[in-house]
Amino acid sequence: MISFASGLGAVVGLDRSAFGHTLLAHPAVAGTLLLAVSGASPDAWLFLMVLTCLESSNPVVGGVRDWGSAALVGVVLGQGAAGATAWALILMWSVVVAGVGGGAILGVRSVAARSMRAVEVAVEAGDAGRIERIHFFLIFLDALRGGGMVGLGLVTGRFLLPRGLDLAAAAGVEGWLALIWTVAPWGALPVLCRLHWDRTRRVAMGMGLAGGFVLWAVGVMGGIG
Amino acid sequence: MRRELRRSKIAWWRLWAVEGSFNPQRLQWVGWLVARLGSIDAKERNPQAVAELLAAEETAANTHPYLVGLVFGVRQSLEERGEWEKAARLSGVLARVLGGIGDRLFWSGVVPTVVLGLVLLGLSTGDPWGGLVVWVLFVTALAWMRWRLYEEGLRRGDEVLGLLEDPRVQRWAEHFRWSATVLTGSLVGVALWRSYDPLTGAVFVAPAAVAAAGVGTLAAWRGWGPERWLLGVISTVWVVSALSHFFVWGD
Repeated sequence: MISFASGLGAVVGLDRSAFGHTLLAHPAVAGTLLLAVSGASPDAWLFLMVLTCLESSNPVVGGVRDWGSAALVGVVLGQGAAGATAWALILMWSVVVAGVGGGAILGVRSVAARSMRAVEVAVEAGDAGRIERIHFFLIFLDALRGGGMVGLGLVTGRFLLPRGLDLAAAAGVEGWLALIWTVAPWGALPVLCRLHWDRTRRVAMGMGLAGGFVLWAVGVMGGIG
Repeated sequence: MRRELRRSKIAWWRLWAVEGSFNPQRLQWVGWLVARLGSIDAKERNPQAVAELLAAEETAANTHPYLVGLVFGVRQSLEERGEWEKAARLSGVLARVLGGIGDRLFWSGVVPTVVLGLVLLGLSTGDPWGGLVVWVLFVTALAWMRWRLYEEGLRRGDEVLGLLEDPRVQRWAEHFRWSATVLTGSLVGVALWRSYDPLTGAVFVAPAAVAAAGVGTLAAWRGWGPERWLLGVISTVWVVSALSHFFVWGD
């Protein structure tokens, strides 16, 4: 599964900006694709929703983070680890992966910026082949970054997760960690609402909330899920 | 010399890779050069022709990646008519205008609607296949639109400027932004139903959840990054757990 997820991570890395922009780099899409292959669980969907909410903070907060890789790492780690305690640790690890992945994206852009002098020389010389080779190399770097980030995140995560769970059990904080996972969606949803809240569209948000409340009531009362 | 160049249609992958060498200084510049190279007939691709073709390029270029085909189509159409200077000038203006339209229509309208719809579908049904069908439809529409815009640009040339004033673009952007807002509200209900059941959930989860929502609201409006958000939620849960333990069960 690590090699498959890393391969998918390479495609997600390409889609982040280099090639396509087909939404695959969004945690919702990348995670859904992986869940279709590996099997879905209610916790995995909640995890993807929390990442989608955190991703929506980007336009407000700024900065670059790699939520696509974070989603793939979290979904794969979540397969072997049942329980709210494990999901809390997976969520924390995914935020770390998103941050490190964001640094890697900036690194690739920095390499691209340094290659511009070589492109200028090629333009003056009319060397079309060299311009295309530089372009392909930088596209390849994006794929390498995506695949490498997911692979590294998974290998490190698989090493850290069982040790983290043992440590939590030894320290007696399992319940506390489980509570963090339980309330994470409650904390994440206002971040999403902030992005789409607009004074001119209050009715739309109100309609959504009313519809959401009905769905919540039906779900809870009916014991669905 | 430039007027004698034979033109060919740009291969589709060149239109999909305009952001391949994206960097903060030159933006999509190299991607544009590579796309432009695709418009020269392969037999005439010699150093002199290439240098002449690319000499007129701006040193930085940027537009919305979904709409870039229209810019190249219009430019190529004008160049085929021998209007080289007008083509270079117009493509710069068109790129900036389409960048603004694309941001409003796609980044803050269509994309959030598709992504949120996909999460909501998965969260409600628990099945990934419905979401995947939505995504495949989106990608198919995107592929069709990119190529279609390029061909429209080639066919209509500078007539497309009139199309940009069409008020329907603005209306569509508003419809999609509206849909994204409705989906956001719906997601709140479904997510809470999936994350916490008040009929069976632990008593002290409710104040912790309300406090976490408070911290999330603070994080959203104060512009905290995800790391600070996570620390905020962790500390809140710790404080609420400690208080619940002290007040509800005693110590």
